[in-house]
Amino acid sequence: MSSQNSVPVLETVGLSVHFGGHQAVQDVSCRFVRDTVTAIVGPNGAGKTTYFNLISGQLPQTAGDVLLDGQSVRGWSASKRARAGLGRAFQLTQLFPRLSVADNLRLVVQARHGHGFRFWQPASSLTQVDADVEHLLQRIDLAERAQVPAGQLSHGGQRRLEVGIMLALDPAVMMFDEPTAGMSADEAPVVLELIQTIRQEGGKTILLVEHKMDVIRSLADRIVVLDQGQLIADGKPAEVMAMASVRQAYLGESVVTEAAKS
Amino acid sequence: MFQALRDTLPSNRWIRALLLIIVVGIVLTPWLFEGTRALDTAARLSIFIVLAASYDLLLGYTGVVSFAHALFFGIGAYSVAIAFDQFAPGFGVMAMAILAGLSVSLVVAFVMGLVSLRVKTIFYAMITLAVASAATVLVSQFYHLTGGEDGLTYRLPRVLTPAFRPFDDPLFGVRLTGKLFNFYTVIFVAILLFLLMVRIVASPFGRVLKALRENDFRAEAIGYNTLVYRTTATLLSAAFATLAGVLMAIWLRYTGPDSVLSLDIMIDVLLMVVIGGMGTLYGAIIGATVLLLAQMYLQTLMGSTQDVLGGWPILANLFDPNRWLLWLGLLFIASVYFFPQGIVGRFSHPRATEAEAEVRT
Repeated sequence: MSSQNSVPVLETVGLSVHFGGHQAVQDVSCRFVRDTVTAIVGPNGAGKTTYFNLISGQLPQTAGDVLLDGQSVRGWSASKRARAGLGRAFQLTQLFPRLSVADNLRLVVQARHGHGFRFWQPASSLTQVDADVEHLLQRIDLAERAQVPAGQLSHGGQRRLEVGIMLALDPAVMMFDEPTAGMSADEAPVVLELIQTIRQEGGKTILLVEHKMDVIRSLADRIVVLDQGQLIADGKPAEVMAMASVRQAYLGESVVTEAAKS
Repeated sequence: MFQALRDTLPSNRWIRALLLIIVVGIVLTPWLFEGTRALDTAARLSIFIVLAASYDLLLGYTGVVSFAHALFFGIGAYSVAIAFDQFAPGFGVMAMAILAGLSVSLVVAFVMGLVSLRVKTIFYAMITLAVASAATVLVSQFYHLTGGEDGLTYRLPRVLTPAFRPFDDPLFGVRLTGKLFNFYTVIFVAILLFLLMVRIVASPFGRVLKALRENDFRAEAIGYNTLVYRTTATLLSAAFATLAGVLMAIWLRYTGPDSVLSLDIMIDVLLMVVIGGMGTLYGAIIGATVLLLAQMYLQTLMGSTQDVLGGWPILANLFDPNRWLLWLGLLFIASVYFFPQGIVGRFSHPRATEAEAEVRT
């Protein structure tokens, strides 16, 4: 497989976490390389989001390690990992609800530029930040709603802003957790196009938790299947979907037939 | 500076007008109002504006609930009081006292933050309450140094006292004494401190504080070390409160537990911020004005109302000056009921209501 020939940007080695007796993620070893979109799939409760939380540092692992560019990030806080290039978008929208759309993005851009500890300069005089934000607003098609509090955007708008925050962070590794969850049929393609564009621009390692097979088909170069916290399949989309074990137990027959049609 | 003001001032012009009236009223008090009571109210008001604004930096901007704010106010006041009580009054002693007060406050704030800011906010609130209570006990125990419950009365450098009279002729009817010089020192420093805070909330750092209040989980995820930012916010807030305490000690020439350290002060400051509007900074100006004027003049007002209503015994009884606390309480309830976001908060989000009116698509 091509991913094993290149140097991995991100690697998890025997990554595990348990809550009491429950093994939420169990001994997951996996490598992720540049310019690849990996879809992480599995039934509800398979540990996909938990796996993301372990990588981005929201949750400490009980065993194993996460390597970024070959370096262990054990013990790093979520903020340090974010600064190092592990970007995370969330399944349940996590915005700054009472701040304007533009301020949500400004916060991310100024974090990237390391302006957070400037006490003296007026924030509005950071023209480079504002220029970046303007550009981002255009990309996520929210320029006209820039001054609206983020909490008052439509669900689709909030999901677009979530992707916008990822764009603003511009990390080497981008982890999207069900970016189109809860979106209507005409809203979802906008978000998918954004991710598609990021992918085409190149240079990124993209991880994607997703349920919808059509999304996976159009975006993913590779599928990793988790079930009950364990990695049970890994490979090209067509290969993985053809695996008997995956078909029977985890993706369900309807999904597989749908996939076969393509 | 002007840009920071432009970025932060409430957009509502009535609020702006009210702010201007209050500030001008305070600055020109010696010429506008007669008597030492008015002068005292104006000086206290400017000090409490700084104190409430510094609390807003913590509560309204960063979303941290602390009950130790009066403690830092007290540390500032007592450091000057003890220094002037122990040594001859002079500006060198004052400078040392201010430095010592700031250091003590910062160390206390840092230790409290380190112990408890990492965990849930309610735990921090409890820790601060405990430390603040302990401080009041300490002050009454170490009465040799602090004067205990009686507090300390001390002499100031002569330039700051009424005895200092450099000019014989009054200026526009007001005699220029050291008292007046003291007054304007307090006002000038208070304005300076407030503008500094404006500068801070308008900075990129201020933006991060708001992010912590809104969603600290996400702030961490986009690369802000929330513990470091939150601790910095508590340090800044404590430093401003300490300096407000210094001003209080200089103005009153007396420092005691009831004037700078008690839980009553803490509750007053909390009310000022809530009434004025959390997370607005300028709300502190309006909140402090409303509360302080009510405390100072409600009794007088009720007395005159009672005289007018003399013919109706029941109504007159209701406005008996001794019942002023009842009316103060009703005033709070009404203000929180009608302005849950505070006065400035209520009138400064036209965009939000506009967006609410739009159909969610």
